[in-house]
Amino acid sequence: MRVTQTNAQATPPARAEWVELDCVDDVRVGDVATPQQITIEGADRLRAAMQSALGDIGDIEVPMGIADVCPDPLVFALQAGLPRLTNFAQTIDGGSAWCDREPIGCEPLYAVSEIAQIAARTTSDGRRLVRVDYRTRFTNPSGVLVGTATGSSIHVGSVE
Amino acid sequence: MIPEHVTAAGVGHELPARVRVTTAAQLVRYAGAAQDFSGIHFDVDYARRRGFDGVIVHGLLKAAFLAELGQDWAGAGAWYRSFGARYTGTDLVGAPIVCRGRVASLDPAGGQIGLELWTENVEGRTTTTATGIIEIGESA
Amino acid sequence: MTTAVPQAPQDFEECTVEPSTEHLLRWAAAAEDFSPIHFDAQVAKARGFQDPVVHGPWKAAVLRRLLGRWLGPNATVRSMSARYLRPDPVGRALRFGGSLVSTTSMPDGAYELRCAVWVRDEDDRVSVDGDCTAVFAPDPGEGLPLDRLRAAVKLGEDAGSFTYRVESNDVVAFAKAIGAIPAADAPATFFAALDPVERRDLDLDGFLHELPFPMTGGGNAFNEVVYERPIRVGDVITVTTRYTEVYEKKGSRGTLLFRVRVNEMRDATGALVAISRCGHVLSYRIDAAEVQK
Repeated sequence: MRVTQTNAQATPPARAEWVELDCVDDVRVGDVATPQQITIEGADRLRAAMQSALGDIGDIEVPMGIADVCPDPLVFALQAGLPRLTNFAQTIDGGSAWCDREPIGCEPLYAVSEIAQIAARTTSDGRRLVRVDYRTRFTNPSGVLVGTATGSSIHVGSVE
Repeated sequence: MIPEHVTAAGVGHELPARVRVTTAAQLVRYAGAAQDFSGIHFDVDYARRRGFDGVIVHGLLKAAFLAELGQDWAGAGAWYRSFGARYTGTDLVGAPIVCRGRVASLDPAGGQIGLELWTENVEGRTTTTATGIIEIGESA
Repeated sequence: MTTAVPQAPQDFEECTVEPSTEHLLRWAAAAEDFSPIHFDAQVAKARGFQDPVVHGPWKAAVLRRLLGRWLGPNATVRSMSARYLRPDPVGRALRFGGSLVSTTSMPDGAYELRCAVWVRDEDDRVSVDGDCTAVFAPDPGEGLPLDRLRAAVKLGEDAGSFTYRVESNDVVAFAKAIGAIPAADAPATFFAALDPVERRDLDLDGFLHELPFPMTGGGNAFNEVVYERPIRVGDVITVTTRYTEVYEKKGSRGTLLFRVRVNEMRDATGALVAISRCGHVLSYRIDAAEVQK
């Protein structure tokens, strides 16, 4: 159904932009989980899992990266012990990002997860959205930064 | 003006030798002072991965030892118009390094002293060879 | 024959994959995410989804593998991000695609590739939207990349100028480190503390440490300096670096790569204080048989 605008000044409500916050409930920017030491064995399981999914497309040789060691950055950070918001109608995984700085050798890596950013905005239909970015930094035994992995948790509030 | 003791010594004179023994701490000090943070001078695992038998002394630190040997012997007011060193072998940290030198040339008119300097490692091998032209006083 | 760098803009060949429960179980074991919304229909419905849903990161992992094929073996993904916009139910075919958005040449002879990637369902709705940055390295060729190196260091031209203040503390620290008595004139080898390459202020050829040949040693081969006057506390020295020679030589322990650079040091009035010349060598083991591959 086509709606004809009769009032030239009636424009659709502007989508509010993300506003950064220091904390929501008891989830605070800067919260750091206890560092973990991880081996890269899990990366082989991951590669086998992807091989089975893509096997019929042919062999794809991809150098080992942080995404193999930390395929799900959000789950990783939550399992490290960082808190997650609970008072929302819906909670979803909003996205992942990986950054590789150095090649991964066979040595174990240290992983430190923290809450990097919290932001909120209102959707066009009046719902409150909160995004919490969980970032994990991976360093090798020499202290060199090997890469980072970030997972975003998106929490959708009820219509107000 | 070339100092009397240098003229008296003459071309071919061997400088009194000096033995330097480096420590890991000294290499760290030198790294900081020279802004040379290559791991081969403080990280034994890295040094071995790079093909060395252990942590090695910075070539330029050995060059510094030699330059100081010559300058101290030449005396007050001495400064290098030119100095050059070639690194022909490695020295491991902690091993004694013998610093030797000899007068290679004298130019009284130009006021210049030419020196040959070298380091000897624990196996008697020459690991650094250097040459320098020293002038006394009157720098710009 | 050298591999050409991919040219932008360019669409990648789409790929269709149908995620099954079995695929996702393997994924769950690797990612340690056994959340039942991916496997249990009732739980999924209770959470507001019609069917069990595919893990967002699984879709990102497929994209990352496809990027490996789309960009070729010379490219290495440096960063990737994915936004999970819509849930996709398990068992339905998904289309994975993307495009090369830009190719930018970098000073060291490599290229930066920027890509957009996406996942769409059978109704063409975008469920994942992402981007990635990759580095494309030219083929290493049969030996050391001398031409690439000469271009990267701007052989024969001024490669960079840097200004350093010679503070009393710097000279004292240097003198003590070499076992000399501190004085107003800096020690003869102090010029080395003002070397932009040693200080990593100038770093044009870092790729020499990423070549596919084992490194078997290296270091300074020689240092020379000619002074107009000693460097002194209080000097403000501007150092201009120029690489003058790049060449290789076969040695007993491998192939030796020589780089010679000249540093011209001038004080605040522009007067020449010193010129230094440094030769650095890196040793590589280049196995002729391996290179044939």
